[in-house]
Amino acid sequence: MDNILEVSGLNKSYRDFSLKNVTFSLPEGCITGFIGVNGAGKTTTLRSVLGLTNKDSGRIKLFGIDMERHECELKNRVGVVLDDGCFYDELTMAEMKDIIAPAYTEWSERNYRNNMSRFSLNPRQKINTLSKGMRIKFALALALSHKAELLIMDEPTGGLDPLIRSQFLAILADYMNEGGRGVFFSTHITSDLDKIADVLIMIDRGKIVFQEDKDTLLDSYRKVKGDAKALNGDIRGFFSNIEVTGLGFTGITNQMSKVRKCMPDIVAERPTIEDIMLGNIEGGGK
Amino acid sequence: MVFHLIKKDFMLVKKYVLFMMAFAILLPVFFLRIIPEFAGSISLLISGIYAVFMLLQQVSLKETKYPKALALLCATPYPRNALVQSKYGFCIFIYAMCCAIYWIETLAFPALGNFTLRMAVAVFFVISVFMGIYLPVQFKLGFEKTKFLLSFVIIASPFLFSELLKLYGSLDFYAINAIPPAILCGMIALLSLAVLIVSVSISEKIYSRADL
Amino acid sequence: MKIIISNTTDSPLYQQIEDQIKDAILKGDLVEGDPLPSIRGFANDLKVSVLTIRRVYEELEQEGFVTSQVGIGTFVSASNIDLLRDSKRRIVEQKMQDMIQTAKSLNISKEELNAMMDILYEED
Repeated sequence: MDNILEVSGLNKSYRDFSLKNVTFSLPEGCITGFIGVNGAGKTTTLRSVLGLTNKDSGRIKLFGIDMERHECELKNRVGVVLDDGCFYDELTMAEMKDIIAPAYTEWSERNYRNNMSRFSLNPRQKINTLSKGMRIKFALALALSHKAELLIMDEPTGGLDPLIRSQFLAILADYMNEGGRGVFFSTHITSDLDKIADVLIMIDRGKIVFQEDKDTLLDSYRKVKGDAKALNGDIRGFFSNIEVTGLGFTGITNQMSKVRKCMPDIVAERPTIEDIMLGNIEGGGK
Repeated sequence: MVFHLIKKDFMLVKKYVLFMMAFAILLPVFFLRIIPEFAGSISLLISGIYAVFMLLQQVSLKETKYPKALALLCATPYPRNALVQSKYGFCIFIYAMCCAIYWIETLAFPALGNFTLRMAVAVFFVISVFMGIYLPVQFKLGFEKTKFLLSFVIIASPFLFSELLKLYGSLDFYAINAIPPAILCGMIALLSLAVLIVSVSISEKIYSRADL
Repeated sequence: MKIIISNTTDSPLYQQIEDQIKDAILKGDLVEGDPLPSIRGFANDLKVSVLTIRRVYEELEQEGFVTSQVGIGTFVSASNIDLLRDSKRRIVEQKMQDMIQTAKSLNISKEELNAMMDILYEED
């Protein structure tokens, strides 16, 4: 399986923050979720991948081709959704489309019209009269109208109600039905990724924490509940995230076998992505 | 590609374009009433400079209001150079519109005199120098800081202007007047183009390194 | 075919899915030539990663339960009938083991067990 995107050794320093040696790859045919808390470096990484900021060092390859030399052709194959504020609000959707469409050689007016009617959008409406959900759908309509093979999105579902979010995920699932495509989106709403992601990449404080198949990740951790009295210093060490109340404790561990040996009387279940994320950042709770 | 980006700039400031066109139409008429001897010589100059400057400011204001839209544009296959060139194209297009308006007015108001190539080239030169300096500065410093710098220049301009007048008085014009007007025209036109080309290259270099 | 994933067992996800598909094939719910769902569709329905389904299909193919044809899909195959028959026998043996264990723990003797078996066998 080829990699649809490869980032190696990406470094970018700002005054208060820097990306350090960010390296990851997106397998083809997968939806990859990019998770991390606010300020962890998700947007900075995405901007570097899209060529919006200049990196200090590192290499980015899209579809196996180096970005530096073939930026324009590669961007033709990428659909971009940058949360909801990336339009000139005073224009209508049709006018905005007229600005964006000529940039792409593979733009399909027919696909665009289909998408707009599928999402129930009226092109003559002004963008500043749209709700957040409609704006994201419009951004998607644009991104899906030029035969893009990779969708890159920065926090597309933030602030959307659950209905729109599930519609959004359904659109993504539908997009992926055809092979050879990929989706890369950053978010801190991990419940969406529980449903739809295939691969997860986590970043914290400018460094990549892990890159894993979602199910392997969920299989390697367990959420354990038991009697708090049974906890001692050694056992605590097996957990990366513990919450103790008067009624017991709940903890996340990736050393389940050891925990079972020390504490036979526990309930264990598969954790959510949010549990794992909190367990992997400092200050997530111990 | 550049054409679509120029179109985008016009779309962003639709209302102001109409306003400036009305201004360009009314100004010569106004001058004809107040200062008829000079109406012919400075109408195009003033309307050209004002139109270019004001519309450029308005576009920059809109871009600053929606920075993410610019980011989206840069994420598309539009090359950064095209974005730079479109700003210059935008200004030149406005200049051309002003020329067209003025030319029609010279036909309607014979008191303005003829619309000569010399006048067009002279105004083009002034606008080119203005664009040639202003646009790279704006690409480098961004809109806010450039506005600040501009206010400084505007305040200093009376002093600058008096210095320029002194210089004008002391210049030896015999050499220049000896050159036949047609060739002088051509030279100034070429000089304007040269200024623009240099300025575009500088702006492109600056913008290619900019972080959005 | 029904696949129910449990969140509380220690068994990895791909293992659960694989086992349940194997069960379905051995029980005869799925027969030779039946198509299995597309990788992406299956992943969506179960809310699991496509990589997991890919692994399940690969392992099932290695063990001879399915064959896959690129561009067409994955189908149940009966290339290992003996293997399947043995596996089926093994399932019965397994259940007998469980039954015997339970009987022993309840102090039911072998004769009682046989008697119960005779009655129940006739009932079918």
